[in-house]
Amino acid sequence: MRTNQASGAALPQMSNESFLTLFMVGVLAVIFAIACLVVPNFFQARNVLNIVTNNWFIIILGIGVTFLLITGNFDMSVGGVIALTGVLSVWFCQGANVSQNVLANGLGLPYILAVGLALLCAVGIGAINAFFIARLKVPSIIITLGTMMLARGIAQIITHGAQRNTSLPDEFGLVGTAALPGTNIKISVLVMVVLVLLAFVFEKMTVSGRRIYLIGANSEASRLSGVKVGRHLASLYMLSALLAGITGILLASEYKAGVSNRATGYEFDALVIALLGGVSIAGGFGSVLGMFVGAIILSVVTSAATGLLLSPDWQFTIKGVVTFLAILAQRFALDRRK
Amino acid sequence: MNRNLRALTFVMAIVLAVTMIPAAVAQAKPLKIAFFVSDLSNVFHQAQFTEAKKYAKAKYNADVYAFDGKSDGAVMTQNVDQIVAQGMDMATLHIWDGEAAKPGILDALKNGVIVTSFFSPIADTGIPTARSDEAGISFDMGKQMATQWKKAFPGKSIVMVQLGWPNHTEVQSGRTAPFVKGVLSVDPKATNLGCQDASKGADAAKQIVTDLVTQHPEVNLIYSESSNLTVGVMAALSQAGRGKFANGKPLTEIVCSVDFDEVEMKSVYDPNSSLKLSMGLPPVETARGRIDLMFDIKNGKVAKTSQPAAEKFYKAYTVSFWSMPRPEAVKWLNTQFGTSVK
Amino acid sequence: MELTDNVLEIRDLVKDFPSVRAVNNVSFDIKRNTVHCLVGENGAGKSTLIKILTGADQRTSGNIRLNGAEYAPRSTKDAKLKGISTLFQELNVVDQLTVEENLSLGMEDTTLGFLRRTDKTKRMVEAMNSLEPSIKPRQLVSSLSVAKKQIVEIAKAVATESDIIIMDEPTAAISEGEIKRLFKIIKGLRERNVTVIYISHRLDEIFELGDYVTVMRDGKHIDTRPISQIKDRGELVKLMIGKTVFEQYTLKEGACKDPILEVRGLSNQKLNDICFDVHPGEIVGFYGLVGAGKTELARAIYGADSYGGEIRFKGRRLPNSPDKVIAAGIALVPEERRSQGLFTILTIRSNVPVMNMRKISRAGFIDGSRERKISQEYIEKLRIATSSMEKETRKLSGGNQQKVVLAKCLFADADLLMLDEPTRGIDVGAKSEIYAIIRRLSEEGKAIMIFSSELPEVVNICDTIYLLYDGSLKETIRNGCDLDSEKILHTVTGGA
Repeated sequence: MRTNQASGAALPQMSNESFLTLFMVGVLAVIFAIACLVVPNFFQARNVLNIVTNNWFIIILGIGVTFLLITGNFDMSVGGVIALTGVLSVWFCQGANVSQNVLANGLGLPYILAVGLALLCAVGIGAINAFFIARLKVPSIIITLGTMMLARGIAQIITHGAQRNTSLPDEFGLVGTAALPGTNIKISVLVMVVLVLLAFVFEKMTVSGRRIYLIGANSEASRLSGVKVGRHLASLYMLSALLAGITGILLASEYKAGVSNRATGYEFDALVIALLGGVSIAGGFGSVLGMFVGAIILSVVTSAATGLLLSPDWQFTIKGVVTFLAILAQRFALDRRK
Repeated sequence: MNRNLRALTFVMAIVLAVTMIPAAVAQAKPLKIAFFVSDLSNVFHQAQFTEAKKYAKAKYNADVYAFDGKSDGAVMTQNVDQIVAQGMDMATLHIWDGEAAKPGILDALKNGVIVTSFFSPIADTGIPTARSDEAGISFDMGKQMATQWKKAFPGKSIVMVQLGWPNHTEVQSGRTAPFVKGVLSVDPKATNLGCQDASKGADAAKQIVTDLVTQHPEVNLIYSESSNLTVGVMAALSQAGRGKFANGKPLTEIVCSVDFDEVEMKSVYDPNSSLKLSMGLPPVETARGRIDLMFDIKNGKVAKTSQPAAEKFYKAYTVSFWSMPRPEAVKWLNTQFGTSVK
Repeated sequence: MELTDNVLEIRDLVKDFPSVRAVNNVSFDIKRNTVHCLVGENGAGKSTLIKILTGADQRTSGNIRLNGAEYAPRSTKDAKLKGISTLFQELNVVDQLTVEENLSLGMEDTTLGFLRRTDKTKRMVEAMNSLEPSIKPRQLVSSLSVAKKQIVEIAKAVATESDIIIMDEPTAAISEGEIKRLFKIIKGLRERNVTVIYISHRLDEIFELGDYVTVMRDGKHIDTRPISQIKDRGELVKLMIGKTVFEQYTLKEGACKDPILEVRGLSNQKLNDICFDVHPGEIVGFYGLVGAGKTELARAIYGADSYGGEIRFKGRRLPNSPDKVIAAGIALVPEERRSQGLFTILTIRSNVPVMNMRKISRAGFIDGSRERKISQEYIEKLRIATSSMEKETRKLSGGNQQKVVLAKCLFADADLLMLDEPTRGIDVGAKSEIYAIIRRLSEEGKAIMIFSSELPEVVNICDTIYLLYDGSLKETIRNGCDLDSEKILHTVTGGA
């Protein structure tokens, strides 16, 4: 233990959370170094940029999922919400009565209105989650797995199990493909960075952010300490759904298509990066910054596996092994610290 | 996913079908054909079914019934069991789980039904398969791409990659392997980086290409095994500042796709996009081929079953910036799919 | 094996933690088939010593001999196998299982992975029957009272032929009647060839129960003596803390201000038509046994449980949800400090301000320096023993944890403070500090309500005492010199 001799008071010790985030940054550095040695052309600015930007959609999802995990709850509906929002935005925006093909006909709404309504529907899914979990106290994993299927089911009905990608106005493809002036960094990536920064500020500096940790650390004590636990959980579920909705809009715009099986399994990816980033599945512990580091770790491994041109089975195995080892190392480090 | 929903609609379909059987039996003259499609909501399958109905009636005076798999392997298997129950005389299957459907197929064969398959042979049943001549088109596309690349950059060696389903037999025999052969037929020294797994969809394809063009920037011929992966491939290329042509001349790479459609139309004939070819799978020829194969069996030209199973190939098209003029491609789309593209 | 006179011999035992030597060169013996009490303030090293004995912690150096043989357990299970069982403060029973299943838990006999009912289980059930016939083997443990759960644990230890049972504050959570029964069982254990190491903050129990007592202070062994050689409570306290503590109620001026809290006809599933007033500056005690409705009363007022009837606070009707009740000016120190009061995985700094975040924030943003300043202030004010405000509260001792909960409630700036079992399981020193804080608050004009199952506590500090039995208020007593503790006990045990 270090002590500050001058004032005689103990210096604030590094919190477990900062320790873990730093530790995972170390793990990231090691994995990155190995990848640089093994994979040709891995160590270059362009590739580093790819690694940070490739997973922007999972990182946006990760924000909501991380907050909810910290409160001790799951959100498995985010992948379904992406599909639903994407499909709805396309359907709302497709021209009305322009083709004999039902999948080419939509409601003919202006783009902004279509996006607004689609996001509203996303928040609606969040509200369903919130109602059952915060009000009726049903375990979150059950409800959100249910709404995951509900959201994707609606998306499949609207697209007849396939996709809608015709008779869309040009502005539909704008936000998803436009790059920042003078760069090839896309708006989606900027959105991700801004959201992560906002989430960091929210989590670390605001009263509401602090209450996320309180609820996760001890929900009953939170209630008895005057925290409106139900209302907080409800807002977080709606926030998570909104973030998934924004992701869905951006993804749909990127390919100018609403695909009903888009983002299948992303809820698990979001969960994995949160766990890799040290978020505790029991609640009360973790951070958005850690989740971000976790996402980068996963991205490095994925990118290296692609660069090595391994067969799909080996790629899958390597990703699994690295994820497993990283989480193991993390738990080990935390235990040693205690 | 929404299996329950599908099961429910399926049950309702059966109920409907059963109530309609007596009416069908009453005028039992024309042959009844079970026409399987993996998903009737798909535009290609819709066009295929429409054509099959028209063609069978005109040429063979047969009635065609759609057996919709609804993108669900279990529904497809259940549909197989319905062939005999619904009194079908012929069936052309399009199913995913061959092993599970095998008993149903053997049962149908035993009942004298003529059974064929579409796209992939089914287990070891030995029934003949109707397929588009994908291999020929893939070879042709490979050859064209290699030729155009060498014409633009005689000094730059070819490095190719494929994206899709590396472990899928039909995809390999009809797409990846012949494509590679086509490229090698022009430049025997071309490097092949192999087939990358993009089976998860467009986002996976995008991520792979992003990483690939960074770590292997020398890649210049890309085969994307399906139009829905191609959107991801093109997005990744454009993000990396590639994906462009200079007025019909290659710059960094040439891309080809499979399943030419209205959306790909724009890129293929855009002189500034590097997506320049796509395999045109024709619903018309496919439907006719599937129907003809069954009547070939009936007329004794093809064995009911054989080991190994017979494969019959029907025409497909190379839609190419270089070899098929735009008006022809527009016409092709409109006749094949009944669309009104201009 | 020749049985030695001493069942356990501890020699030169040392346990170092990174910052502190928790057990400092301790040596003493424990005689076979006695009840050996272990006392000392919190932080005296008792818990660490016990953890070494039960295998939960490993010693730094020193020697322990059990039945004359070297004893160094690697885990609690290992300790159990070697003959030392423990009755922890947090009981080891699994609520969702039956009594019988709990008895065999961890000792299951299996055939091909299937559980078998064996002699072992039967022996345990028999042991339990002889201790407490009212517990049925097929009963769910969740339906048992804390005291009965303890008896299940004791039965388990007896049946596995433990030489020693360590009991850590077994009476902290059980009522007077149950304590009597537990004591009878403990006394009976001597005949069953079991030695008991008994840890309690209730010194009266030690005189009633103990054969020997060992006093620890600051990690050191102070003395081990037969109880008979200790004159009285005062002497024992002197040994423990080196100074004498006096706790005595001093009569206050009668409060004649308007009541701050008026409760009329309060009823719910557990409560029955309760009416009373609380005045500013008054310390009101609610005394009753476990299950009398004390906690339920506190929770109802706090808005944590629903109720019928009317509660007015400062003349206004009190809303029925904790956040609004806190905003109105009431704070509660809940009964279970770890599960209801504390955020154990968070730091002291994060715990202190939670009930009044507005005071450390501006426009929803937390003012970090303010938060630290306030936490430091409360650590000093309540003398919370910690190396840093960044320490996780689960690493604090029970007394210090309770002070953190108290700090939380004080920071809420409440005009009425409710404390449910405020000193349960904490040492004498911390106890009297908490009493002092309560008295100070009352002098500042705050109203205080104490819900307690410890009569001395209520008698020591309360101005008015309400006796609760079975959800009803039975009697109101003005504190003074004419308290008849026998009569009180008669009332709260259901006597007319």
